[in-house]
Amino acid sequence: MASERDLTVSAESSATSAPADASRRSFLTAGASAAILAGFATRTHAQTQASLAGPPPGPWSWTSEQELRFLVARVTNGWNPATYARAVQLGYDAFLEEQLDHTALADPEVTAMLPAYPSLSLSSKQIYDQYVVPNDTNTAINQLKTATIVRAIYSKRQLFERMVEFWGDHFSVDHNDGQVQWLKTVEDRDVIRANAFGTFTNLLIADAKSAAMLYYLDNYRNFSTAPNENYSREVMELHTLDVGHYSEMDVAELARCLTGWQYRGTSLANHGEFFFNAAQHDNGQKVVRGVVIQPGGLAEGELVLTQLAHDIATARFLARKLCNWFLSYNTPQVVIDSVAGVFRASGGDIKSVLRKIFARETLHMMSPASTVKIKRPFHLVASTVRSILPEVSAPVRFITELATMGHTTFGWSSPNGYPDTAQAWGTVLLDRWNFMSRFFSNSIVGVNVNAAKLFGPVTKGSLASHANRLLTGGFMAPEDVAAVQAYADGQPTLNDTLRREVLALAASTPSFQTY
Amino acid sequence: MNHENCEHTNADQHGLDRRQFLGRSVIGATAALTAPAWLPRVSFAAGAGPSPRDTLVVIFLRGGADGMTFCAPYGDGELYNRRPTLAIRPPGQANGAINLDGFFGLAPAMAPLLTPYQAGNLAFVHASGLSDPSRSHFDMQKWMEFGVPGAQATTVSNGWLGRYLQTIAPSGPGLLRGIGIASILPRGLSGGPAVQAVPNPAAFVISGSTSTAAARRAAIAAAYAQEPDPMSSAAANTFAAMDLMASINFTTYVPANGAVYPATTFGTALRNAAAIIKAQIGVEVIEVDLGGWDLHNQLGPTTGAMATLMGELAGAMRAFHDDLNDVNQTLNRVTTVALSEFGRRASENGSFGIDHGHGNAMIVMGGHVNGGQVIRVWPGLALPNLDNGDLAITIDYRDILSEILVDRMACTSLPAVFPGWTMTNRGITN
Repeated sequence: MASERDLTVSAESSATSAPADASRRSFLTAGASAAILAGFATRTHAQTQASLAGPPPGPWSWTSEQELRFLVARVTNGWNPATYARAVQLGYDAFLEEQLDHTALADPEVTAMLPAYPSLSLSSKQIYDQYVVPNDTNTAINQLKTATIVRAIYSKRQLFERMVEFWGDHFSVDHNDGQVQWLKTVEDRDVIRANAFGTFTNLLIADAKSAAMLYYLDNYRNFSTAPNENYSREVMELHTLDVGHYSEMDVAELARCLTGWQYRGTSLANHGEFFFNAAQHDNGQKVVRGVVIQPGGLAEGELVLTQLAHDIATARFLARKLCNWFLSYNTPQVVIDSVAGVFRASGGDIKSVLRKIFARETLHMMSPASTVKIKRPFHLVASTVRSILPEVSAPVRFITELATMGHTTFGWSSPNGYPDTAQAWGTVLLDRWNFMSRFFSNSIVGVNVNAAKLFGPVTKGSLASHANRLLTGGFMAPEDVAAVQAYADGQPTLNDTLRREVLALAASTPSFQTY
Repeated sequence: MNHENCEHTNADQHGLDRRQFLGRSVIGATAALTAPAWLPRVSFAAGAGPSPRDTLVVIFLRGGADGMTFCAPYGDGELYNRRPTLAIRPPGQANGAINLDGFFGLAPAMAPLLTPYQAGNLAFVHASGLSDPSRSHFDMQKWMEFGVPGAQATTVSNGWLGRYLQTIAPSGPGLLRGIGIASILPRGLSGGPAVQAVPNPAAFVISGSTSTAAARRAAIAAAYAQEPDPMSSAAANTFAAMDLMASINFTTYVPANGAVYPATTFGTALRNAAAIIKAQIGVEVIEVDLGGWDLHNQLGPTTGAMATLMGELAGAMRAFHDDLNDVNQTLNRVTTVALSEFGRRASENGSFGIDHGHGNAMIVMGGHVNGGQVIRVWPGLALPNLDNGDLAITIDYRDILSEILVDRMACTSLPAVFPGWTMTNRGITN
């Protein structure tokens, strides 16, 4: 950690050398105030229409430091000295490429931690026999949730983890729902993680065949004599085309194509594995979105899913969601269109899409102020730990903390995944502030923040500016630092409690709650 | 806060006035609002808005709660052709319906609502909903909460409850006008002045040392005061809600008439809603959600998933009814509406479940509800009468909400709340 302290100092000096660029508040006020408000506005249809009608934006000027800060903020689960130093060392393009080539990135810390979660490497049958049969309903669930949090915090493959989180919401299954409780582990490993940086087509088809999704959206009960169209609707509405690009007849016809898609039951050694039950497949001819699908068994569904994955509507829908996730709540339509173009031209190659999203010329189509987003609670927790890296001996405790903030990992009950909007997360603040209070006061079991060590000989009059360096490398808005320092100034004595309160307050300000 | 402000547009609601107010007033009010008794010691001045008027409680049943199960049209013989295994049987048969009016009957699990129905305080509105062709949960929840069909999507960007609050001055002090007892603000309230999600009203306080809480709060307030919306107004609303919730002692709250709420998140939320209403702290609109109704597989109308949910819904609404039916006749100034984004398909599917449908039943409860009846223009369940295989909608849900807003909520700006809709009076209130 000695090198980290040094790097903190270097980040600090770079901040003080360019205060105007460094301040998030001036970062915000650099743009037109209307753009700021638009950046925070809930995405609505009306606004989308308005942005379609508006003039093409940009180009905007970004300093190279702004670009690098932005990249680190968006491809990681939060700033820390080591990560930022690595980005400075490699430069913008090379840092992005390093994150994209994730298997080449050694990840010793996480590799050492994961054996604590042995169910991660088991088959669904093994999880079922070892945990579910003996009536242990929580262990495997909590291991997966905890490992997800641990990876988000400690993995060197930060962009990969951000992408995994995105796909987990895009193909959301409710971890509480029946068999998903034990099927989600394999889906997370063999579907989401295995394809997160692959092609969208492969991901979509793997997901359609995953036991967790077959169960959650009822396609395993979709029979020729008794169709169930739950999955067929959601795969078009939520996973590919978006609403408005298919008819009720298409839902029914796609359901017929997907009859007989099932997974092996709990009594079998290969429980959870996909199989095609020809006896329960509807062998008639179908017409989906105007295309005649000749009888072909399993191939019918695979064909339609492939067509859906390559549809222009899918490219546009995914581009919009990915831009919202990585760039801005209000990404200009011209940017979304260009990303959609790459999505389609590359056959849904996710790395190509990410390169387009993070291309510098893409950034220059947006004002820096318009990109400000609010951290979702998962991101907020991960970024808090990442900033000062305290001892965390029981990360399982973060499950409860996330539940309090409305963001239980894999806990969204509807198939559309947790929202990614300012309206959803920017309007419920108290639990986010209270998390910071518990975290920095060591009230969360297993979290040990050593405030005395973090602050060293820092005087009372410099507490807030030091907290700023510890949490963000010196990039908090001056107003936020001043508000926290005003609190410190009003307290009679410098002691450990005050240091902790200052850290909690600094992390409660908009500077840390947004990114 | 200036009451005149509330007449203005959404942008004004989130403008500078509240932030100035935050800086000047809420912090100062902290000390005055720490009364330990369950009822607040502080007496609030009445607002400038028309008064008295009801508190409106909206229960959103997310996922498509099947109205043909919870309020079954057993008198339409076609029901049993559409749903040979899942339909609630007629009264008198095993697990049969509880007769309401000779045509409709309650599912057995809905039995707790029979008493309010017979007392004339509860009505159903059947074959109702929002006429939009979509069968998507997410679309239909959004349009119902926005108060327009998808075809009018470009005309609004916020919720009907939020717009109602925009168009009328507060009935009370206006510090906290709408709350969602939820972890995320329900969309129906979005855009409203002084609206806030309060996940747990009984524990809406700042953590850490109580001796430094006020000063720490002041620091946070100062940081958020200059932030763009939604965060600055969310912070201001949070502080207002903290003060008001702290003025109520939820743990010692005793429901009237021995009412017992189900020990579930939803039951507790309605119990807390009753305490908030009786405390008269100026909250005008409360939303509570109950999800889990999307039962494509194994509906369980008499024993199973839907029966359990109906038991929770009916048990909590019954307790709410009895609790509000107190010596102060609180029930006479509260109207509660339970609705869902759509009903489920007329016919059952092959998984003993029912897919997404269209027309549905609403539940309306209150002292000024024309209860004891199932309001409907029944379209019938014969195949030719269905709307793409679903119960048709013959009463738009906006008729019901409009009547409640006009008669019970002093609304004079219906066109702003439900743009493009001309209300037909359905006789839901008296």
